[in-house]
Amino acid sequence: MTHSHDHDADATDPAEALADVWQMLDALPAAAASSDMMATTIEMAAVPLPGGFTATRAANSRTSMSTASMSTANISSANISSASVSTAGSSVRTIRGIERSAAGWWLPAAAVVLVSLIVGIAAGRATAPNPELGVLANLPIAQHVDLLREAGSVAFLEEVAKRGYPPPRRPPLAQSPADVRADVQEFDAAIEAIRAVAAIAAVEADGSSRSVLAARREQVLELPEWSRRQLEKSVESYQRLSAADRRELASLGRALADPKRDSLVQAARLWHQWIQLRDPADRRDVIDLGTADRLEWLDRWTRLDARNETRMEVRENARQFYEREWPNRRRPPPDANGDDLPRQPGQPGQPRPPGQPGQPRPPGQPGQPRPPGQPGQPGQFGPPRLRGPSMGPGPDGPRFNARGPQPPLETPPPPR
Amino acid sequence: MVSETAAGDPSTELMIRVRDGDAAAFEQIVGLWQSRLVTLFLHHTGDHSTAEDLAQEVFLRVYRARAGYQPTAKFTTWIHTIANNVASDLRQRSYRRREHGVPANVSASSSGIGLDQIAIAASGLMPARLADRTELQAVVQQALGTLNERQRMAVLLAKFEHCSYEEIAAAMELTVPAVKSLLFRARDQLREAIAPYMQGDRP
Repeated sequence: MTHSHDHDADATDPAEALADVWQMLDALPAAAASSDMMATTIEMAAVPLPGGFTATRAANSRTSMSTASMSTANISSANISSASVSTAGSSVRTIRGIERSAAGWWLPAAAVVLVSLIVGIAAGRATAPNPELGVLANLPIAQHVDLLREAGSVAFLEEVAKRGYPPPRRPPLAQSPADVRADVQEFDAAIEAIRAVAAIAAVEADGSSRSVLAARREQVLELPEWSRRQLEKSVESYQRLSAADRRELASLGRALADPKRDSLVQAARLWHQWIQLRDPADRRDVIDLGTADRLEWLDRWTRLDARNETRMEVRENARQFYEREWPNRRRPPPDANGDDLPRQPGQPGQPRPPGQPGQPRPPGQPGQPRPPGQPGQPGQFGPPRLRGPSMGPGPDGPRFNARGPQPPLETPPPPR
Repeated sequence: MVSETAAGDPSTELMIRVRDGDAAAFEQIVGLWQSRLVTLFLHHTGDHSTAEDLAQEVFLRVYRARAGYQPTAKFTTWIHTIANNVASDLRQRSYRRREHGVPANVSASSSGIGLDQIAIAASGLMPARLADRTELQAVVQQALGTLNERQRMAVLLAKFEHCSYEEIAAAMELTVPAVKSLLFRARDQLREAIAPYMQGDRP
């Protein structure tokens, strides 16, 4: 570039600064907003839901980026005291604010407003979809959005069920068995809730769904403060999803609620247990994976888990073997008569009296250090190292230790 | 209590009415600004639907913040600041969630044709190409897509909102020299991106 910034710094306005490319930018067209944009914008801004919710736009066609307000603080209904139907464009409810401080004429104004409110709501319900109902209708999905997002999709769960993965063999780190049980119970309760909602909806589907929505509205209003905040967060994250993602979750919710498809619930529970093994940050990344990547992840972790289990099994077998065998070797054989009489001091297995030296024993006997370079026998000098039977030598094979191959057990010690 | 800078700005007066509870004024603000914001976001993101969503988000933020609105500056500057914040949030969200990829340019990139290819493919049709506004739009949009987010926003505020250095600086929370530098670098980059097309234009 031949232009220097020093020269450009003299430009007095952006048009001059952009110089020759300024004209090129004229080629970019001015855009027009779609016809329903104003209606939906006002609707989004102004319609409060029970429990502090604010509705999203009615048409969810482009809600992927719309973050409709969920904050009760930001849009208080103090300034919004009535709604009426705006007949410009599509019929939508708009808000007419009135000054509360104008006490002199508030009564007739309130009467007018009340009438217009009733007419507005009636006309609005008749002509425009009610976004509040939209949120309430999807409330069960929104409530369990985290669980459903974790489960992913029907296709994924079907594949998990088909492949028959085993459950993880160890609990998540830093979780007690009680924590694990509580987590599973929570998962099952969420599934039960989804099923219950689906069952009610199926019963009420014959034209009386309004009662379901009313019940849900009551349910939201009766929630304690903490639960309501949790619900608001869930609904907020649900509303951030794209329309396609929402459809996918709704489909998954229906599938999980279907009692005939219990295998999907089992698969979702299994997947839940597996990803609980990861720490929360990793878990989020795993949840964001697509179906193929999730399956690959699961393949890898089940393989690793099986390998670790094999190692643990070998160690456990070895431990049991030596616990079983080692004391027998240490214990002296019973007397020929079967008497178990007290032994004289100095006999094997009996503690030596203090201050009484024992007789020197030939090398290789119990209690005597092994001469250097002389191979030992099992049970001679302290307990052997823990080695699993499967890792030890075969019946006729050479034995190995840190000093190299050892002769078979039957081989007598070499003469000195 | 409208300050000197804000006095006479119709949008500022409307916003004061919104603050005082006049929802009809909010409707007027939406009507005044929706196409401007959609245009701004369309050229920023390259996608009309996303642009409308972002514009709606701006209006929602305006409405939510109405109670604390103080007309100490022009409403234009205030709404541009919000628009810039919304665009920044989109960028951060797209990085974080890897879900909403921001197509830098839809018109040209959707066909998988780059600037070089457009220039080469059309080099034999110079007179016709000059007349082909659609193609020119594609070229400019593609060039705009080569800018980073801040450069693009500064250029769009300058071009479509006719903002001065000071207004851009206020909206983007930068200093005036930083805005100048941003625009100069943007110009160089745009010129470089459009160069293959222009060279083909002048044999």
